[in-house]
Amino acid sequence: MSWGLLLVFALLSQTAAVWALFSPYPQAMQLGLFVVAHLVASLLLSALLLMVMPHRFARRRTWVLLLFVSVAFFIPVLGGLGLIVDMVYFRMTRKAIKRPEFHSLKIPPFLEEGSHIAQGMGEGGAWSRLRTVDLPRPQRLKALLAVSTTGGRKVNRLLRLATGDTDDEIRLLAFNLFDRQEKVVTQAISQNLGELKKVRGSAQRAELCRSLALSYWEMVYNDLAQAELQNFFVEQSLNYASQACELGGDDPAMALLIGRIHLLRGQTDQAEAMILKAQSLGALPARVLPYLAEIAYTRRDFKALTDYLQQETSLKHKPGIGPVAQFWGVASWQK
Amino acid sequence: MAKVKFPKASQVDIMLLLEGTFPYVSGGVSSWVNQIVRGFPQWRFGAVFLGSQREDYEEFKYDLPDNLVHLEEHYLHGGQPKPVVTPCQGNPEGFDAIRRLHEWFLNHQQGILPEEMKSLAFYRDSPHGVDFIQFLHGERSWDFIAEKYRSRCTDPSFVDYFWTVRNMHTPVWQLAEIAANLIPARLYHTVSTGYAGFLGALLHHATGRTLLLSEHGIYTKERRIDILHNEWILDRRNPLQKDLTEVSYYRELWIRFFETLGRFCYDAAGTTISLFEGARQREIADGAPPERTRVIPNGIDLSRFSPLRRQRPAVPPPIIALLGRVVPIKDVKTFIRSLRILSSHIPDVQGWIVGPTDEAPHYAEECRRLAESLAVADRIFFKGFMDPRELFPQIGLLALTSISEGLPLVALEGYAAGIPLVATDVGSCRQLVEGVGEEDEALGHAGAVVPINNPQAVAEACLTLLSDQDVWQKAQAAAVARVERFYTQKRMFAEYRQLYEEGLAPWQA
Repeated sequence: MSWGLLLVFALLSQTAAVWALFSPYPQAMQLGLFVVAHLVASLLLSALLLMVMPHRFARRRTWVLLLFVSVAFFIPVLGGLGLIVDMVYFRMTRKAIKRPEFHSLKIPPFLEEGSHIAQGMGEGGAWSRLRTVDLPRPQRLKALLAVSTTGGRKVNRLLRLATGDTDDEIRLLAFNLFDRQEKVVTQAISQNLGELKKVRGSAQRAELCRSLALSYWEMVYNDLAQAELQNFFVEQSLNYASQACELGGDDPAMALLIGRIHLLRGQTDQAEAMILKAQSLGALPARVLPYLAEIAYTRRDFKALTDYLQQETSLKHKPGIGPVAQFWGVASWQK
Repeated sequence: MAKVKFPKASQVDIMLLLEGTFPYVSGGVSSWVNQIVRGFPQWRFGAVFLGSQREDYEEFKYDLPDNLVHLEEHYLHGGQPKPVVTPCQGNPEGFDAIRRLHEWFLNHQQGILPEEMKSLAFYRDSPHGVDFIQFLHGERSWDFIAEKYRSRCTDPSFVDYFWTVRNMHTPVWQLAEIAANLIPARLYHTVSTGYAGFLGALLHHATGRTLLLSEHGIYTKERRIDILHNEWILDRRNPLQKDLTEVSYYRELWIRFFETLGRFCYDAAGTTISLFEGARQREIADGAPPERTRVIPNGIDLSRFSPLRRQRPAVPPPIIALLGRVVPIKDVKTFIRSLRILSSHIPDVQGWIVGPTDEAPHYAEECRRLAESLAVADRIFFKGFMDPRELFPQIGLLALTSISEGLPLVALEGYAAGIPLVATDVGSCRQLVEGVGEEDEALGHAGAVVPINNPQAVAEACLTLLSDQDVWQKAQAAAVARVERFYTQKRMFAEYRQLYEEGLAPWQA
């Protein structure tokens, strides 16, 4: 039934209720007829108002409906009028916005006719396909393309593996994808080095040194360099992080970075000191605690490890560290 | 070098079909073309240069040999005037042939290429063909494109599809026009498949004369790599439509187009020549009939370089040269990174990058910046062009960090001067360094082979050769022996002379 027809019924019911009060029937019947007709009118008006209201205003619909019915029923004339005014308001404003609800959108054209959307593949699938040299080239190329949009250290390792492939096309595609990742960081370094030569103010220099420290570290963290070249990047990162601290004062991010560099080099005491410093400077517990836990682990101090991981409950739900925190973060394993 | 006037002739013995190489672009293929023309003064050569657009090329990089008596240039994306808009229906037979050709694209079976497509008349004025006006303005052309879009294209934009198809196919009609107007030749020789190879195939079918194909790199493979990484090829699918493991439709389309041009050329070539066995196998996989393929390695003029051996120092100078164009395929960045590592072990080490930087100036700039970010800018020298005979006496090693190679001439030239090579394991580099076959391998290693994109391996190999005089001397000896035994110009010319004589024989004047 249409919205307009229901409104007509509601108004007719209300008219019938008013007519019942002035009808020639006995008083009890008058009252009965009025209550029934007025209740029907109130219900209809309330339901209609609920229909036109945006969903965000009427999440608990039953209670809202009861409220409207009560207003319309217990404030006989004004209540009903109020509901009608609200109805008009919502009808007009929603019409003016012309914003379709998300669920009312149709599927875009061509999507139905487009190619079959196959399941993608994760790193595991890509690794296994790339390692299978007997697999036809198109499937191995697909594996590379599947991971190429993501990035990160695991993907870079995979791309490096593929640059040693016996198939020319796999090798060249992997090389280009790897180069693309590396180029972004190198450009940032190059740009910052260029600016560093020009600026004079210590605040600006500190900021540039900070960026350089993070960019060089990015090369290491994303596994974009190996062996001696990686050592060079670590050295550069440490150098610029130290300069940033000297020029710009203590910075929790730089203190944490220096701590991580010491940790990478196996210098646990220096690493712990810097990470604790970062914590005291305001670094978030979720950022520093995993490294402190790692240091505790290398020292075989499992109680401290558990303590660190218990300090921040959110760690259990973070990707990567989550399963570690779930295992080591409970004291029960020690018993 | 001043711009040279184009020589013109009314007929030649051998017509070279060159795409993006000699005489405008320096590099291995161009040097080889120059070498071949000069090597056969008894024959009159002509050359057709095909380029993308005029502004991409500056001036000649080579002096033209005297026996190159005809040269013309054509640009395939240069905005040539289009025919006046002429509404027409289009020949039904012509479009049927195109339909069959598209089926051939999909199946890639040899021997079913429609015969009409081999005929030059098909593209020009045949009543049963499809000329340029019909392709541009024919209703059947529009219907065909629209039908293919509906049935095959996964990209939502018809406009992109339409213009991709137009831009992709326009050179085909241009090449037919070039073929129709080209001066007569007794033999055609293309140094790649692609557009030049297609032109060669058209000329072969139109004249019945022999077509030779010499592939230094594998054109189809190189285009495939370019296409997979080009950012100008659009993909307008939204994330819901896109399958990340799929190559976008347009990329596939371009790849299939070049594969088809390649098959067209392999089918027409009397002999397909590659530089080493791996490349020959690849050509066979791409559609070359195995019985018409053969390997002829590059060879060099030893007398130009062997006197340099006397000028070489007794101990290795800590100078490593990368001799080649500064372009991404040479992976100059890995060379720079390896210098970073080497500098910790050999304080006075230098890296010389000897080659033009104007072909990919952005890449050259990236290389310079990389050298700065690695704090080796004071050890890396971009030397530009240098005569190898001036360069070779000064350096200790040659390095090739390329990600794709054929059989690099610079390695052979370096060998002739007694310079060991550190090269990536691409193309025929392993064969050059370690030898192939019992006799060749017995000569020893003329340097070292390393994986691509591995600066640590490059640095370690260079360090071994530069720091151990005995290893360096042995590598020099192996280099000289290998080039003298297997890679002489005399040997290469003898094989080409035989092919040219066979091709020219039926048409002796």
